[in-house]
Amino acid sequence: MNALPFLVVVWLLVVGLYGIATCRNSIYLVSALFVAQSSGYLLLLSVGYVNNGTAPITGDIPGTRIMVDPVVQALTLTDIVVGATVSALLLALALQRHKRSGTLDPKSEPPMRG
Amino acid sequence: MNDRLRNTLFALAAALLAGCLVAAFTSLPTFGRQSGAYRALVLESMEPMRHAQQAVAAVTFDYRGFDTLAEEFILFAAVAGGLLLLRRQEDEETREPTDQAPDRAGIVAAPAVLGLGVVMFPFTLLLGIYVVLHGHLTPGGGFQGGVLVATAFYYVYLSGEYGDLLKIKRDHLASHLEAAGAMSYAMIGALPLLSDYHYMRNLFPLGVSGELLSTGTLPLLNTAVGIEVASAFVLLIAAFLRQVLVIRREKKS
Repeated sequence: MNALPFLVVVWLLVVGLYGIATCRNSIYLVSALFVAQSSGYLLLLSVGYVNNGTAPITGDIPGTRIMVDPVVQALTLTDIVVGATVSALLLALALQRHKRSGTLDPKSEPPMRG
Repeated sequence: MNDRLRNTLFALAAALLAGCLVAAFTSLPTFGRQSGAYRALVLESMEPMRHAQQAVAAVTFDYRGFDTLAEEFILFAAVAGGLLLLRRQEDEETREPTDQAPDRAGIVAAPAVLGLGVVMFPFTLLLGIYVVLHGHLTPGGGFQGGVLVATAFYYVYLSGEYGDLLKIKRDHLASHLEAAGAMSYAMIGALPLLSDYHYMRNLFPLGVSGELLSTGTLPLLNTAVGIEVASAFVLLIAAFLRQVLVIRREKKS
């Protein structure tokens, strides 16, 4: 049971990579990339979890409660923001490519023009 | 390389990677019993030193505020790149959307949809502003609240008033706000340099723990990030919308 979060991390990463390696559509590629990336969120959060821990906010929670690691939570926040904007950039690339070459298949020849 | 060879190679590599990862994770401390050194350090020092009550915000904007500056500029660069790609290209033309079937009456949005947009827009906007401003006290902050504020404008799109979003073009207020948000984060960080302190030092009065105006620069940085994230996402949806509705490929005749 204790190994479960880490096994899910490995599973998400490998499934995401499988999607990236086999997909025939750039939109699916972005989705698969996001799945692979979400394994990073889960890994960070499981590394910082402490048994019976609560949110690291001291305002309303009595100081006697055990709190989880805030450092990795802040790193996860960074990860999510970067992931979302990079996905938007990749989707814009896919859209332009579809207009140029009429295909979304990442395996076809890219239109290279200077 | 044919597909079968590619998939076999991938399966081998993925199995190897998964095996290595599982082996690596088994040498980590047991799940739930980790105790990183920084966890105790941050939780013990943030209230006496910074009067902060929300550890994630304190870490993001204070302990590693310099990292967040870089993260903010990753966001800025990614959005700038996205907008650059979604411009009108050389062989395209813009065409204002025209009614393709003037003889037919336009589709009128159902009153429920319009009503939902009218009701949800102000409340989502308000919730977003609340989450940005209270980022150092309650869960939330500039990044989360900024996305909420942008979501309020998505309701404009969903309730059928997408013409209003098309007006967001170059030199619109949103693009200035995005740049101003990114810039003010860097400027707030640079202020202490004037009085010979190091970059991003928390100069402002720390205030009373738990009050809205406390923890020094944290609320200011949260607001800067909130403004930037909100305008970035509004700009992105406007650019994608223009791409679909306004920009057409020029006919080669």
